[in-house]
Amino acid sequence: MGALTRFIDLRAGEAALLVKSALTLFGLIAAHTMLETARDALFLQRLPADRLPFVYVLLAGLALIVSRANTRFVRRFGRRNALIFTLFAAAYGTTVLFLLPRTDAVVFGLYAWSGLLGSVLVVQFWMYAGQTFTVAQGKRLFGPITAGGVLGAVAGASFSVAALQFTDVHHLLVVGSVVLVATAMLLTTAPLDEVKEAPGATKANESRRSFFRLFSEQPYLLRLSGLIALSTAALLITDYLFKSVARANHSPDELGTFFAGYYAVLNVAALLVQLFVGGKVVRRAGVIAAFSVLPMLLLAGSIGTVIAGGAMLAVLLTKGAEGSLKHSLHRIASELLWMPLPDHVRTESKVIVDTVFVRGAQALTATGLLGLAMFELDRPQVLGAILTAMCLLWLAMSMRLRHWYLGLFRRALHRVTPEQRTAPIELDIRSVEVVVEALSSREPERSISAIELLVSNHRTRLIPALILYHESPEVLVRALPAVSTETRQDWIPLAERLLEHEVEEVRIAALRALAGAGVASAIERRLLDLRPRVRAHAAFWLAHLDDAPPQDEAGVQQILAMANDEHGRDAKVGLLEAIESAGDTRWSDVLMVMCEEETDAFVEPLVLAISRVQDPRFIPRLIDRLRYRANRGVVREAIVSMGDEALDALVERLRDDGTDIRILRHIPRTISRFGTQRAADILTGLLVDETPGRIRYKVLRGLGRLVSEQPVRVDRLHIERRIEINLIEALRLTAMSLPLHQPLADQAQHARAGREMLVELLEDKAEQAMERAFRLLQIAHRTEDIHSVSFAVSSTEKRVRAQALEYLDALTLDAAVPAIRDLLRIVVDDLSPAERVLRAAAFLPAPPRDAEAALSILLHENDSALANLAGYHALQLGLKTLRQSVITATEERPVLASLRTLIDLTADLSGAPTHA
Amino acid sequence: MLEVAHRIELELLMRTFLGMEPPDRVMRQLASVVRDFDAPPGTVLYERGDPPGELFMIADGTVALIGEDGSRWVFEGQSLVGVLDSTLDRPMTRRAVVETRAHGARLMLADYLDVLDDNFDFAKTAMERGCRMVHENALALAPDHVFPPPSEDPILDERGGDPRPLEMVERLMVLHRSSLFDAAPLQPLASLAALAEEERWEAGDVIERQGETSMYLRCVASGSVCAERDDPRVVADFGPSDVVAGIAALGLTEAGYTIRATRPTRTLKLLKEDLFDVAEDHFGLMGTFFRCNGLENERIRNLGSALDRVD
Repeated sequence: MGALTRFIDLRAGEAALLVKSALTLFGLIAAHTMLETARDALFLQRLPADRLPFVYVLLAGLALIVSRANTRFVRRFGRRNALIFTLFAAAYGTTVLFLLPRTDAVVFGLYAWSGLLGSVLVVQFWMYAGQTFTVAQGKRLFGPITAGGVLGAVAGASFSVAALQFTDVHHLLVVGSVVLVATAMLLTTAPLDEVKEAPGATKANESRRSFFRLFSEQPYLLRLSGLIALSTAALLITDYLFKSVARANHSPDELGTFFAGYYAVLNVAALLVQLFVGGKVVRRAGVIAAFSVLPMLLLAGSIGTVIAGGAMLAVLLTKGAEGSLKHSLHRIASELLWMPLPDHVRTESKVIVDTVFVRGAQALTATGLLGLAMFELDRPQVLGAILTAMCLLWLAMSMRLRHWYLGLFRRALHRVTPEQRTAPIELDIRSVEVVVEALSSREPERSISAIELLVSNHRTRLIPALILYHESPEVLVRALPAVSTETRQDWIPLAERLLEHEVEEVRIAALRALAGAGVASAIERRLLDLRPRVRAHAAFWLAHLDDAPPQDEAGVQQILAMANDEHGRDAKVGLLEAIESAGDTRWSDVLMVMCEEETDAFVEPLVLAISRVQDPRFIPRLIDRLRYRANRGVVREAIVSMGDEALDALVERLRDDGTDIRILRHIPRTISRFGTQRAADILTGLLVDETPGRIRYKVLRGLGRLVSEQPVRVDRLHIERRIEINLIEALRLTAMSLPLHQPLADQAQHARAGREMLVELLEDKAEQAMERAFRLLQIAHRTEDIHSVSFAVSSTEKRVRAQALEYLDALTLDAAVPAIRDLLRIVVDDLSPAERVLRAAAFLPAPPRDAEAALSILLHENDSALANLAGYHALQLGLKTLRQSVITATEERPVLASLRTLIDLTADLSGAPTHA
Repeated sequence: MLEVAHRIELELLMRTFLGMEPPDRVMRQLASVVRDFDAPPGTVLYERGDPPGELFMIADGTVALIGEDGSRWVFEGQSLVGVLDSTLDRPMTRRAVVETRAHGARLMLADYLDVLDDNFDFAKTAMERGCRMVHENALALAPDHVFPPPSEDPILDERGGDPRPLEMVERLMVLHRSSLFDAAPLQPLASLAALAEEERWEAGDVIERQGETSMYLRCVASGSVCAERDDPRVVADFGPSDVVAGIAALGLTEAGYTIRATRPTRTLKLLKEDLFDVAEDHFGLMGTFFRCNGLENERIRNLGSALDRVD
């Protein structure tokens, strides 16, 4: 384990699985290499080479049949069992072929058999690995696993060469079978994979599901398959180019030595890349970039070949790139590209793509090469040019794939996007029927719900005037403003009836609706109402429809002059309600008079009325009002409606040191409601260390809401720096809490409680820093659903967490602050807190060596609660050195003043000097 | 994507269910995460031991929650089922069976909390309403046991009737020990401890009168207080670390009880406005209140069932 972890990023519980997986691939490839050696020799001994195309065609057909059977088999028995079964079947079939007389037909069959096994076994192995390991594990462990495969190829080939010195080639079939059985036996000790039904895959729809439908449903799969086919073709052309140039530059006698030497070098290079480069490139550059390394090198080689006129060196380098990367880095990246696909899609498509598509691409490319050869166009320059074009296409498709790759993770992690959550509903005919049925319900709640739904969708014309016959006063009060729109008259006669309704609220609602529609008789009828509140509404409308200033109207003056007894309060509340519902700036002076009364009797309706009239003179009063939760939303709307003047006033209050914290903390969100670029810039500017933490968090939430609702720009560099600061803070706090997890001495009950509280507070603060980092990430990537990702990060499912990690890794590839990618990997990956701190060493100050050191540092924390709790716990422990640290800290820091009493109280416990 | 008519039906259902004029933003968010259900009698919504997390809003019909001991809690229209175990994050403790055809909406608690976190005022209203409902249930079902027995364990070291004011850390400890805050994250509690004001009372002092506007939440730091009311008659004592009037105090806009100190007492006074301001920034605190109200609901219902059996 120790030796392994020196080279591989191995986590607890992974070693056994890694070794078994690597050994399985080793055995599988070693056996297949032996079979390949035997079949090539036996085939070419009995049959001419021009029979090979027939085998290719047969293989493609067989692959199609086998892939469908494999899909069903895997779904029923699981991937591990399917692979074990195939290994045993392969051993059995190979042994049978060994025992049969070596006729042309048997040799032909042997070639097809081994070709088929080569495809199916490797694909089944990677399907198993893809299920067993998460995408995050794959990035770390697929390199070493693939190295097992490369070693298997070397071992298989070496054994074959050695064995052929002593025995006939067809005996390799028996040895291969034995290795296959041994591999199957080894695999039986590996853990079973979970057999999962595809979501919604009932037997009925399973039979209907076609391969083509799968592709149409999964655009990523279509693109991935195209890329695999394209890369297969490009690699075949590379091979052809290499062999044709080698043949042209070496005599037939030299070819064997040349190939042996060159392949040996390539195998060593592949192994080195596998062990030391592959995993690192994938982790550093990401899966898509890793997948693009091979085409980039091939592109360079092919351009060199064209320019150098097919020079041997250029071709050797091109083939070198293919030979060293094809089975290492390229294989890892290719397998990882399958990981984001849903499990059932992988099960149903991977075998088909890796067999039928690959074989088909080979057949088509071979036909093309044959055509070129017929017209003597298979010259190095021509092949180099074709390869150049293919590599360019390969690269372009790879780059585009990133979008779809991220998209799959998005879909896997997605819950409901904010856009979907707040998108209004477009009503269709059927939904209108549903709402109209609800409107006529006798249940007031249902009827009111339907009215509100139509109001919120701006479809009030659908509310019939007959609803004003509803027996519920609540429904009438809600329906009257909804039906009394400018374009309708049908409700007026029905509303007039309601002016005499027994419920005061209904009379007011009817008066408001009718007066708003210009029915003056309604006002006159209610001026004599028994209730002062209703009369006040009537007085408002009488003044409102007149040209004179409202404060000069007799009715209004009469209300203003009333004492604040029960009647007077009712009348004033009524007047304010009326102003709130229909007032304008003409009413400002009336409100000014009422503001001067300095009474709590009608403060709420007064604020609502002020909010309505939109007079800038009220801005300071409205800002003051932000301290109260009641109607804060209305007040905010009123402030926002007054535009830049109000925004300037808010900024001024923010900068004023004398602003009450209870007002201050609601200013950021009010600024965010402006929804403008300027508001976004102001809030972004406030995300600095100088802004107090509590306000900064409000700024963060306000900016988050603004960015999610409006297409504003933010300074991404600035935001990413804040992400970096918060992630480092989360790790620093984790580092501080680690030594405190162990009791410092034989602690008494109360000291243990103090330690536990301190640890809990540190962990809470670390969690909060993480939350802030994710909120900032959402601001930096406004179109992404980071909220769902942060949810996935804390999932109990390892696979979901790994998907979140890979998504974040891919998303932050082009971060302006590259450190955030490393930091996110550390905080999101499956690591113990101690391991996280260890990996973050480069970003953190030296962590405390023990609890005593941690407490000494915490005494100087900016957060006063944390510093106080640390001091309190330090005093509880009764250690002299710590006690002295607390005394010194209290002298230096006024926020720790409250600890002085405790220092005195605990003096007798420690025998130490008391505070001076 | 849900069919529009279907989504409208769900939105209507929830508007009706919530019954407190939720903002459009909330409605749209909720409508996007709920699914409707229409269950005939005998349908099992969940079994005992099932994993928690799903809530059922019963619009109409009857659902019985049957405990292991056979006790039955029957819920009719406008009820929320599954919320108790889900907020406590424990396997379902009762079997939910539809008794008369039930219709409603189902959603995951995590999605619901997500919407609440995004719309704090709505969350606050929902929480206050929940607290009031549980308290009204308590008054109706078990007026002699509206509150749990008082705590008697002293928290503070008050050697010699210590006259010094409580230090910040001590205020934090008092809050942390109270049943209302014991599961709360410490960070917001530290903020509350900094905002809390200490009050001292002599035996017999009236701390609050029934019917007055209730702007504060009080936690007993030392000593004890008594809460009284009539119709129904309730007398309850509260000791160190108890929140006076329990979780119900959060839902009441006017004092439901007259509160008196029964011996020299120190209380921590928190302005509810401050409490909610802190909770707005630390939604975990709000989650704690929902959890606490859930536990209170369970206690009352268990008492109700026990009393039923005695009857």
